Amino acid sequence: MAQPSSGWAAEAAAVLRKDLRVELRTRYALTAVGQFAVTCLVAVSFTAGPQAQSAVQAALLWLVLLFAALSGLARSFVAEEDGRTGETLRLAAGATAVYLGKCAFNVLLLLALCGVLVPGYQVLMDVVWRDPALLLATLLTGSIGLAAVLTFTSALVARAQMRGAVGAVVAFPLLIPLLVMAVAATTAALDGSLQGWYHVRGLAAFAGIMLTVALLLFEVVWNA
Amino acid sequence: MVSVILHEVGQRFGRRVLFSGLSLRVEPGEVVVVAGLNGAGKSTLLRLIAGLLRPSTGEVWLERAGQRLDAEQRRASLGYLSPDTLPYRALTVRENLDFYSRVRGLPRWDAAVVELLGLADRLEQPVAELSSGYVQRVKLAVAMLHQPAVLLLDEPGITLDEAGHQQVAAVVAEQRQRGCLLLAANDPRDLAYGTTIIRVGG
Repeated sequence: MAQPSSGWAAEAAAVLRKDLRVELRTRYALTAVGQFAVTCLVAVSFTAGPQAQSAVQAALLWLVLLFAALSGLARSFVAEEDGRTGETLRLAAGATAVYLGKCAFNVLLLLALCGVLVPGYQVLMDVVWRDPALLLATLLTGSIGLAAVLTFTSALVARAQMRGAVGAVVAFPLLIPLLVMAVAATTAALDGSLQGWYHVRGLAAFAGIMLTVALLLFEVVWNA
Repeated sequence: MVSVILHEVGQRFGRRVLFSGLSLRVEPGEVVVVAGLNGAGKSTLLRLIAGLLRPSTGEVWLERAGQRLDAEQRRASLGYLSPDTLPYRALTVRENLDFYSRVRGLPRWDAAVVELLGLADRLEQPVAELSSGYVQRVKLAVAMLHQPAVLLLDEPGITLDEAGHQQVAAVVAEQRQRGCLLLAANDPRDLAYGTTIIRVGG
């Protein structure tokens, strides 16, 4: 038997590279997330418009991000099962590496989505970010937290028979604290309030807790 | 050297009992062929040994020098081929082999496996463009690239032409040198590989 020579970090990087390569060729998640985000963004800009209060604008931005993320990230593991690659991956790769690789891919996907969505939102909603650094920190920590939760629930969904129901039931309650903090921080980024950094610390803590819990539980879910 | 042990193993799905009280010990150098009618539980037995399914009753484990392997050691010791799995269709043959080597912590894949399975001139081809026979060869390569001590092959000959069957024979011979092999099949050519043949489902 050949002796392994690398650790979980190298294996996670391999999973990330594989997912990026598959995505660049199939564009499945990019198309799902992008189409949803653009449609929602246009609908929101027509309904709410630039006259909306900053708290409403922030909430709408995160709603668009959340539902776009749900449409793409929720398929991380379902795609493995549908493509009949899940069992081979389960036997070849360690659970930690698989979770971290797929979570990293989802963070990159969300940041790419933010890169398109936020400038579009700025133009269509005519918003001015008084604290751009706070906005960037909110999007980064919020994306990591969102990816940590949705990557884990995607694994649960992929192993469940009633896929859609499980995803909604598990993901939404877990994401409520993230949404509350992300909306508050984004509102502060619009208003220029320093209180937003307090919420960013909360988002970072949320992401850290969710990553830790997911890593502890993932092996059970993955090998169930 | 790794042995496979099944102790009083039973499997049922709902009220349907596939098999029960099955005990078996597979030592290095052995080739065990699991035969039986469609739906008798051949694939299920291999899935139990692979750890992809938990038995309804009894125990399945792998051991080396009398010590049971943990989950990580078991994963490193097993190679598995099944009709229910596929390589990544969007990736080329080389990219599939690179990926599975890396997640298994191998610095590179064994070129001899590629030569043995006649994949050398298909390495840059996307799996989606391969014929079903070549997809089966890629699956065999993925199952073997880490030189597993225990190789589980579920219907290895399906979709293969005569050259492919000869390659399976070479795989079987090589695996007997390295460890043990369990093979689920009904094809007479596959049955002939067996040092032991067990029949499930009566």
